[in-house]
Amino acid sequence: MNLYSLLKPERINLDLTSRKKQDVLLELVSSFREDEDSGLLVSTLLKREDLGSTGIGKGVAIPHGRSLVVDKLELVVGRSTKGISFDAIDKKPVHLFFLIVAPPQDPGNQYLITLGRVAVVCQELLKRKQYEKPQTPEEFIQLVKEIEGNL
Amino acid sequence: MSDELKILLELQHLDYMIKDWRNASTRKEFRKIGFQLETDNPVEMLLEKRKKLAERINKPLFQMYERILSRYKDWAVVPVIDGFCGGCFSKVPTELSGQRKVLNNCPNCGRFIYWD
Ligand SMILES: [Zn+2]
Repeated sequence: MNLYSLLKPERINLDLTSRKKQDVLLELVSSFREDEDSGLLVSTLLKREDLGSTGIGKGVAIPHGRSLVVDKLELVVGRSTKGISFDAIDKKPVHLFFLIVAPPQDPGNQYLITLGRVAVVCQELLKRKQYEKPQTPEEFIQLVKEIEGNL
Repeated sequence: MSDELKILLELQHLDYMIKDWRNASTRKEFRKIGFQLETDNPVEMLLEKRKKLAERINKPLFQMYERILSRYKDWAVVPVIDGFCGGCFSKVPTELSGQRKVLNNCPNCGRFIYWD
Protein backbone atom coordinates (compact mmCIF):
# COMPACT_ATOMS: atom_id res chain seq x y z
CA MET A 1 0.00 0.00 0.00
CA ASN A 2 0.99 3.63 -0.47
CA LEU A 3 0.35 6.15 2.21
CA TYR A 4 0.66 9.15 -0.06
CA SER A 5 -2.37 8.04 -2.06
CA LEU A 6 -4.47 8.24 1.12
CA LEU A 7 -3.31 11.77 1.92
CA LYS A 8 -5.48 14.71 0.94
CA PRO A 9 -4.36 18.35 1.09
CA GLU A 10 -7.49 19.34 3.05
CA ARG A 11 -6.61 16.75 5.70
CA ILE A 12 -3.13 18.14 6.28
CA ASN A 13 -2.63 20.93 8.80
CA LEU A 14 0.97 22.07 8.90
CA ASP A 15 0.32 24.72 11.52
CA LEU A 16 -1.52 23.23 14.48
CA THR A 17 -2.48 25.85 17.03
CA SER A 18 -3.50 23.60 19.95
CA ARG A 19 -1.35 23.17 23.04
CA LYS A 20 -3.06 20.28 24.80
CA LYS A 21 -3.92 16.68 24.04
CA GLN A 22 -7.70 17.02 23.93
CA ASP A 23 -7.52 20.21 21.88
CA VAL A 24 -5.17 18.83 19.28
CA LEU A 25 -7.33 15.73 18.84
CA LEU A 26 -10.31 17.99 18.20
CA GLU A 27 -8.28 20.13 15.84
CA LEU A 28 -7.30 17.05 13.84
CA VAL A 29 -10.80 15.55 13.83
CA SER A 30 -12.29 18.89 12.75
CA SER A 31 -10.60 18.56 9.39
CA PHE A 32 -13.26 16.02 8.42
CA ARG A 33 -16.01 16.34 11.04
CA GLU A 34 -17.44 19.53 12.47
CA ASP A 35 -20.68 18.40 14.09
CA GLU A 36 -21.49 16.45 17.25
CA ASP A 37 -19.64 13.46 15.82
CA SER A 38 -16.33 15.23 16.40
CA GLY A 39 -16.92 15.27 20.17
CA LEU A 40 -17.78 11.59 20.09
CA LEU A 41 -14.63 10.81 18.14
CA VAL A 42 -12.42 12.81 20.50
CA SER A 43 -13.89 11.05 23.50
CA THR A 44 -13.15 7.69 21.87
CA LEU A 45 -9.59 8.72 20.99
CA LEU A 46 -9.02 9.90 24.56
CA LYS A 47 -10.14 6.52 25.92
CA ARG A 48 -7.52 4.92 23.73
CA GLU A 49 -4.93 7.39 25.01
CA ASP A 50 -5.78 6.34 28.58
CA LEU A 51 -4.35 2.89 27.87
CA GLY A 52 -1.01 4.48 27.03
CA SER A 53 -0.17 7.49 24.91
CA THR A 54 -0.06 6.99 21.16
CA GLY A 55 2.89 9.38 21.25
CA ILE A 56 5.49 6.76 20.30
CA GLY A 57 8.46 9.00 20.90
CA LYS A 58 10.81 11.29 18.96
CA GLY A 59 8.03 13.79 18.45
CA VAL A 60 5.53 11.52 16.71
CA ALA A 61 2.01 10.52 17.73
CA ILE A 62 -0.43 8.23 15.93
CA PRO A 63 -3.84 8.57 17.58
CA HIS A 64 -6.33 6.05 16.23
CA GLY A 65 -9.79 4.59 16.57
CA ARG A 66 -12.73 2.96 14.88
CA SER A 67 -16.04 4.68 14.29
CA LEU A 68 -19.27 4.37 12.34
CA VAL A 69 -18.97 8.11 11.83
CA VAL A 70 -16.69 7.36 8.87
CA ASP A 71 -17.55 5.10 5.97
CA LYS A 72 -13.96 4.83 4.80
CA LEU A 73 -10.59 5.21 6.44
CA GLU A 74 -9.70 8.81 7.25
CA LEU A 75 -6.12 9.90 7.59
CA VAL A 76 -5.23 13.33 8.97
CA VAL A 77 -1.78 14.87 9.30
CA GLY A 78 -0.93 17.62 11.75
CA ARG A 79 2.34 19.41 12.38
CA SER A 80 3.34 21.72 15.17
CA THR A 81 6.63 23.54 15.10
CA LYS A 82 6.43 24.40 18.79
CA GLY A 83 5.44 20.90 19.78
CA ILE A 84 2.44 19.75 21.80
CA SER A 85 2.47 18.04 25.16
CA PHE A 86 0.95 14.61 24.53
CA ASP A 87 2.28 12.42 27.38
CA ALA A 88 4.51 10.68 24.84
CA ILE A 89 6.49 7.66 26.02
CA ASP A 90 9.73 9.65 25.97
CA LYS A 91 7.94 12.66 27.55
CA LYS A 92 8.98 14.85 24.64
CA PRO A 93 6.55 17.22 22.91
CA VAL A 94 4.94 15.95 19.74
CA HIS A 95 5.57 17.74 16.44
CA LEU A 96 4.02 15.34 13.97
CA PHE A 97 0.60 13.71 14.21
CA PHE A 98 -1.02 11.10 12.03
CA LEU A 99 -4.63 10.53 13.03
CA ILE A 100 -6.31 7.40 11.71
CA VAL A 101 -10.04 6.74 11.98
CA ALA A 102 -11.37 3.59 10.38
CA PRO A 103 -14.86 2.17 10.02
CA PRO A 104 -15.57 -0.86 12.24
CA GLN A 105 -16.25 -2.98 9.19
CA ASP A 106 -12.82 -3.32 7.67
CA PRO A 107 -12.43 -6.67 5.90
CA GLY A 108 -8.97 -6.05 4.42
CA ASN A 109 -7.73 -4.82 7.80
CA GLN A 110 -6.76 -1.55 6.20
CA TYR A 111 -6.71 0.01 9.66
CA LEU A 112 -3.76 -2.02 10.93
CA ILE A 113 -1.95 -1.96 7.61
CA THR A 114 -2.19 1.83 7.50
CA LEU A 115 -1.07 2.17 11.13
CA GLY A 116 1.99 0.05 10.36
CA ARG A 117 2.78 2.00 7.24
CA VAL A 118 2.45 5.32 9.05
CA ALA A 119 4.94 4.14 11.68
CA VAL A 120 7.48 3.24 8.99
CA VAL A 121 7.04 6.49 7.03
CA CYS A 122 7.29 8.51 10.25
CA GLN A 123 10.71 7.07 10.98
CA GLU A 124 11.87 8.39 7.62
CA LEU A 125 10.16 11.76 8.07
CA LEU A 126 12.07 12.18 11.33
CA LYS A 127 15.45 11.71 9.69
CA ARG A 128 17.12 15.12 9.36
CA LYS A 129 13.76 16.52 10.46
CA GLN A 130 12.46 16.18 6.93
CA TYR A 131 8.91 16.74 8.14
CA GLU A 132 9.80 20.37 8.86
CA LYS A 133 10.54 21.19 5.23
CA PRO A 134 7.18 21.14 3.43
CA GLN A 135 5.55 24.56 3.21
CA THR A 136 2.26 23.36 1.77
CA PRO A 137 0.12 20.21 2.12
CA GLU A 138 0.94 19.37 -1.50
CA GLU A 139 4.66 19.49 -0.71
CA PHE A 140 4.06 17.24 2.28
CA ILE A 141 2.32 14.64 0.10
CA GLN A 142 5.16 14.89 -2.42
CA LEU A 143 7.70 14.27 0.35
CA VAL A 144 5.82 11.18 1.55
CA LYS A 145 5.66 9.98 -2.04
CA GLU A 146 9.43 10.37 -2.40
CA ILE A 147 10.06 8.60 0.89
CA GLU A 148 7.85 5.71 -0.13
CA GLY A 149 9.60 5.50 -3.46
CA ASN A 150 12.86 4.85 -1.62
CA LEU A 151 11.53 2.30 0.87
CA MET B 1 -28.59 14.36 19.55
CA SER B 2 -29.98 13.16 22.90
CA ASP B 3 -27.68 12.33 25.78
CA GLU B 4 -28.88 8.73 25.72
CA LEU B 5 -27.97 8.38 22.09
CA LYS B 6 -24.58 9.98 22.70
CA ILE B 7 -23.81 7.50 25.45
CA LEU B 8 -24.99 4.54 23.39
CA LEU B 9 -22.70 5.64 20.58
CA GLU B 10 -19.82 6.10 23.00
CA LEU B 11 -20.49 2.63 24.34
CA GLN B 12 -20.43 1.22 20.86
CA HIS B 13 -17.13 2.94 20.03
CA LEU B 14 -15.70 1.47 23.19
CA ASP B 15 -16.92 -1.96 22.16
CA TYR B 16 -15.05 -1.69 18.85
CA MET B 17 -11.92 -0.88 20.85
CA ILE B 18 -12.43 -3.81 23.21
CA LYS B 19 -12.84 -6.11 20.24
CA ASP B 20 -9.49 -4.94 18.84
CA TRP B 21 -7.64 -5.32 22.14
CA ARG B 22 -9.12 -8.78 22.66
CA ASN B 23 -7.63 -9.89 19.37
CA ALA B 24 -4.15 -11.29 20.01
CA SER B 25 -2.79 -10.63 16.52
CA THR B 26 -4.09 -7.05 16.56
CA ARG B 27 -2.42 -6.51 19.93
CA LYS B 28 0.81 -7.87 18.50
CA GLU B 29 0.58 -5.44 15.58
CA PHE B 30 0.02 -2.53 17.97
CA ARG B 31 3.15 -3.52 19.87
CA LYS B 32 5.16 -3.85 16.66
CA ILE B 33 4.16 -0.33 15.64
CA GLY B 34 5.66 0.93 18.89
CA PHE B 35 2.65 1.62 21.07
CA GLN B 36 3.36 1.08 24.73
CA LEU B 37 0.72 0.57 27.38
CA GLU B 38 0.46 1.86 30.89
CA THR B 39 -1.64 -1.13 31.86
CA ASP B 40 -0.99 -4.87 31.75
CA ASN B 41 -4.59 -5.55 31.00
CA PRO B 42 -6.05 -3.10 28.48
CA VAL B 43 -9.27 -5.08 28.05
CA GLU B 44 -9.99 -4.99 31.76
CA MET B 45 -9.35 -1.25 31.82
CA LEU B 46 -11.72 -0.71 28.90
CA LEU B 47 -14.37 -2.93 30.48
CA GLU B 48 -14.15 -0.77 33.58
CA LYS B 49 -14.78 2.30 31.42
CA ARG B 50 -17.68 0.46 29.81
CA LYS B 51 -19.25 -0.21 33.19
CA LYS B 52 -18.99 3.46 34.15
CA LEU B 53 -20.50 4.54 30.86
CA ALA B 54 -23.36 2.05 31.20
CA GLU B 55 -24.22 3.54 34.58
CA ARG B 56 -25.01 6.83 32.88
CA ILE B 57 -28.04 5.44 31.05
CA ASN B 58 -31.04 3.66 32.52
CA LYS B 59 -30.77 -0.05 32.99
CA PRO B 60 -33.49 -1.19 30.57
CA LEU B 61 -31.86 0.85 27.81
CA PHE B 62 -28.46 -0.68 28.51
CA GLN B 63 -29.97 -4.15 28.62
CA MET B 64 -31.61 -3.49 25.28
CA TYR B 65 -28.24 -2.43 23.88
CA GLU B 66 -26.70 -5.66 25.16
CA ARG B 67 -29.54 -7.74 23.71
CA ILE B 68 -29.28 -6.19 20.27
CA LEU B 69 -25.50 -6.54 20.32
CA SER B 70 -25.54 -10.20 21.30
CA ARG B 71 -28.14 -10.87 18.61
CA TYR B 72 -26.33 -9.27 15.70
CA LYS B 73 -22.69 -9.44 16.89
CA ASP B 74 -21.79 -6.36 14.85
CA TRP B 75 -23.42 -3.16 16.12
CA ALA B 76 -26.48 -2.04 17.99
CA VAL B 77 -26.63 1.63 17.01
CA VAL B 78 -26.65 2.58 13.34
CA PRO B 79 -27.22 5.72 11.30
CA VAL B 80 -30.07 6.01 8.82
CA ILE B 81 -28.50 6.54 5.43
CA ASP B 82 -30.68 7.96 2.64
CA GLY B 83 -33.74 6.64 4.45
CA PHE B 84 -32.37 3.14 4.96
CA CYS B 85 -31.33 1.47 8.21
CA GLY B 86 -27.54 1.23 8.35
CA GLY B 87 -27.80 -2.19 9.97
CA CYS B 88 -30.31 -4.19 7.91
CA PHE B 89 -30.67 -1.80 4.95
CA SER B 90 -34.45 -1.85 5.04
CA LYS B 91 -36.40 1.35 4.40
CA VAL B 92 -37.16 3.28 7.56
CA PRO B 93 -40.75 4.62 7.63
CA THR B 94 -40.72 8.34 6.90
CA GLU B 95 -42.91 9.12 9.92
CA LEU B 96 -39.94 8.20 12.11
CA SER B 97 -37.61 10.62 10.37
CA GLY B 98 -39.44 13.60 11.86
CA GLN B 99 -38.24 12.54 15.29
CA ARG B 100 -34.57 13.16 14.77
CA LYS B 101 -33.64 13.88 18.35
CA VAL B 102 -35.54 10.92 19.74
CA LEU B 103 -34.06 7.49 20.15
CA ASN B 104 -35.76 5.09 17.77
CA ASN B 105 -35.48 1.47 16.83
CA CYS B 106 -35.54 0.14 13.31
CA PRO B 107 -38.95 -1.52 12.89
CA ASN B 108 -37.33 -4.31 10.91
CA CYS B 109 -34.18 -5.32 12.83
CA GLY B 110 -34.67 -3.54 16.16
CA ARG B 111 -31.29 -1.80 16.17
CA PHE B 112 -31.16 1.71 17.55
CA ILE B 113 -31.24 4.16 14.68
CA TYR B 114 -30.36 7.81 14.38
CA TRP B 115 -30.34 10.36 11.58
CA ASP B 116 -26.92 11.48 10.53
ZN1 LIG C 1 -32.70 -2.23 10.59
